[in-house]
Amino acid sequence: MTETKYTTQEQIEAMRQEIQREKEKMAGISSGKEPSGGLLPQRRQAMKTVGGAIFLALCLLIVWSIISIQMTKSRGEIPNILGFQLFAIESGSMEPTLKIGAVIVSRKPKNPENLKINDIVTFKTLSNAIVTHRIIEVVVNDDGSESYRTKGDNPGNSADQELLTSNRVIGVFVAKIPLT
Amino acid sequence: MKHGPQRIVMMEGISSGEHFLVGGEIPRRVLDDITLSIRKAEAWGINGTSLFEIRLLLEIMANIRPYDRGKCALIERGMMRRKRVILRHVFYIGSSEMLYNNMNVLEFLMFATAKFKIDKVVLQEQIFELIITIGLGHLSLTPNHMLTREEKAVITLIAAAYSDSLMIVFNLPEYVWDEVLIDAIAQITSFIRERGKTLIIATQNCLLIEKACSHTAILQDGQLIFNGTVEDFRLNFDKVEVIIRDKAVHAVREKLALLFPAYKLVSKDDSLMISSIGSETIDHGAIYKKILESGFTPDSIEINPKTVENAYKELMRQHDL
Repeated sequence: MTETKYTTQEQIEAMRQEIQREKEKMAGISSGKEPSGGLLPQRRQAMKTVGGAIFLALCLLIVWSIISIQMTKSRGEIPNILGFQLFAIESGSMEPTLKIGAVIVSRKPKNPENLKINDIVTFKTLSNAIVTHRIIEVVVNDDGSESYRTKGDNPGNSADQELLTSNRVIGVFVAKIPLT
Repeated sequence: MKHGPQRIVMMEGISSGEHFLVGGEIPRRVLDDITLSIRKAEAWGINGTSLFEIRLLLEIMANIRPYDRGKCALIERGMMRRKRVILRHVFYIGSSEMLYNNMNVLEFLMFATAKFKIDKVVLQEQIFELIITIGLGHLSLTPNHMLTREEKAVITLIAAAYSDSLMIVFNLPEYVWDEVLIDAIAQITSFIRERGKTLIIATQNCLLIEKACSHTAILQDGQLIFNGTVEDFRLNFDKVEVIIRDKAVHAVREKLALLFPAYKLVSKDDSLMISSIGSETIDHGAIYKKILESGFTPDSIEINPKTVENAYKELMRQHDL
């Protein structure tokens, strides 16, 4: 087909009509005249509002978390978000279950006196180091209270010397974030 | 009320790094000691005897050529002397090959304005009607690859008019403009100025300057020999006051010369042009009366509307060019 250079008056008029039709279509949609499309702008508005609210809530949660973490850190405590804490594994004592560099999520136990064998717990040692090991034995003391014997999963590890008392338990393992 | 930058280009003593090397003569700078101030919503026509000088001046203004001496600020922001970057607030048109050849004119303009957050159908209608209003309806749906380079340049200027750049540099001094395109540029210029933008056109076409520009600057041998409003330029340099048209005008020239000793009379074809010599106010009615009293009734007598072209010729004559 041979193209002609100049736009004719007919082509201009046809284009004008096309634009006009498109404008009428758009006007119909926005005034809700179309039966199927009448709710579209309202729905879009509602979606926008909900989306905005979710976005705002997320922003507030992030800001609140940052503030809360900073405040907890300044008090010398371990920061948590909604009762959950994050710990990074720094030694190989729990390999192959938890490798060095892995990040774990722990939850503050509701009842640290009732922990069971095989629970992985994060606790403070008597020298104030934070350790994550597995409970291998529940020991009943003379006064009836319970202590726990812990050990790292690494086959090369022996059981920990000191018994873990419930007041030193920080968290119970919930999940591993597979970063490594 | 918005208060944007008022001074768009501030040049003080700008000299180019480029030199003209003419055999046996001392090299001279292409541009030397240029001082120019361009304000918001003005349209400037930069004219001169050398295309290279005009083009270079606009390249320096657009920050794509370094300069050697002087100070230059664009939109009230200083620019580094050695920086060759077109800034975001400058829309530079230095070539007509900015259009995509697989689109037509309207499609390209819609593409160029795609980022604006306004109703696309309304925008399309606005652009389409603008193209028709400025007299380019016959090109509105023409494939870009069929346009001449001048037509392409004008379409690019429309895209620039819709852009958010405050300063548009139209640097195509070698292009030849016909009256249709000159009228189109003049109308786009009005649109650009209404939007508070500044347009700087490089051209040797006096009619384009007359129709489209509010200000003009004339370059000669690398220096500005005039810069000011087009109106001042026309009134101060076009000295022709009255034009008499008659086949027998040559025969009465001597007689009229005696009647008007304080004027210069120049005949050309069937026209006789009476020009003022000094700068005093001219009484056109008195000239008309004197001609009729001499007993000579020409075919027509008209007051010269004062054109940029005549003013330019007079300026060049004054500078022995």
